[in-house]
Amino acid sequence: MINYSIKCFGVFRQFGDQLNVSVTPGSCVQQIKAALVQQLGEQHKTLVEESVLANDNEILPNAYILQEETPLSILPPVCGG
Amino acid sequence: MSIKVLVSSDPLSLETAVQSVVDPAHGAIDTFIGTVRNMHEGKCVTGITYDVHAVLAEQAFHEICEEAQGLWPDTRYYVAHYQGALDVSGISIIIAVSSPHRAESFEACRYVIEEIKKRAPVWKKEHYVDGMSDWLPGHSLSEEAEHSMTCCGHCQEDAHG
Repeated sequence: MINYSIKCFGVFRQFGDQLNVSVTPGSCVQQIKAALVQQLGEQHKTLVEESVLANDNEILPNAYILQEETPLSILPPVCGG
Repeated sequence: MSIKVLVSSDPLSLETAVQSVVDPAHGAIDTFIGTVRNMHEGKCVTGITYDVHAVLAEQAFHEICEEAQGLWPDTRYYVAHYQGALDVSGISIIIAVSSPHRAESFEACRYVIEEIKKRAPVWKKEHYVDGMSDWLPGHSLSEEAEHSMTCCGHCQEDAHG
């Protein structure tokens, strides 16, 4: 298993500064999001699905396969300005 | 430098914004200042806390300004977004755009703020007079993710053109 630390932003801060999930090696972003739903509960499924994961440099598509224990962030829908 | 962007926990300065886009060949500077409103959907607001992914937000600001430059050539940009807590009337964002003539400045400035609202990783937590707080809903970045340059993480970038 690979552990990922996911930094929380916006409404995800209700769960703390970061979330930790473990997934099998070769998992994609979508699978990490599924693991997050399992951890947070089905009531947060829509929020997780509408959110995106990012590494330190870019937003990652759902099909993106993470190769290593990259620091991640979860970005809920945005409302800047 | 024709594009300057930043995320800051210090008060934003309109003078800095204007000075950043001054150009002797430009006859117009348009500015947009976003401030904290005291009312939202019938609730009395006392302030807003702005949460920002600073690295990705600055990247998004820069990309949006570059797009605007493609649409309105010969324009200069300054974008600053506040990170942290602000009281009512506090300044959350300043955008300044300069151009040779006024029309491009108005249009480009409008483009930049509208795109920032949809695409920049910034979140607002509103605080109300009754002591309650709410994170505001917003625009999902899912579309941005699926259209990003990064593909599946396994392919070489050139394989996707």
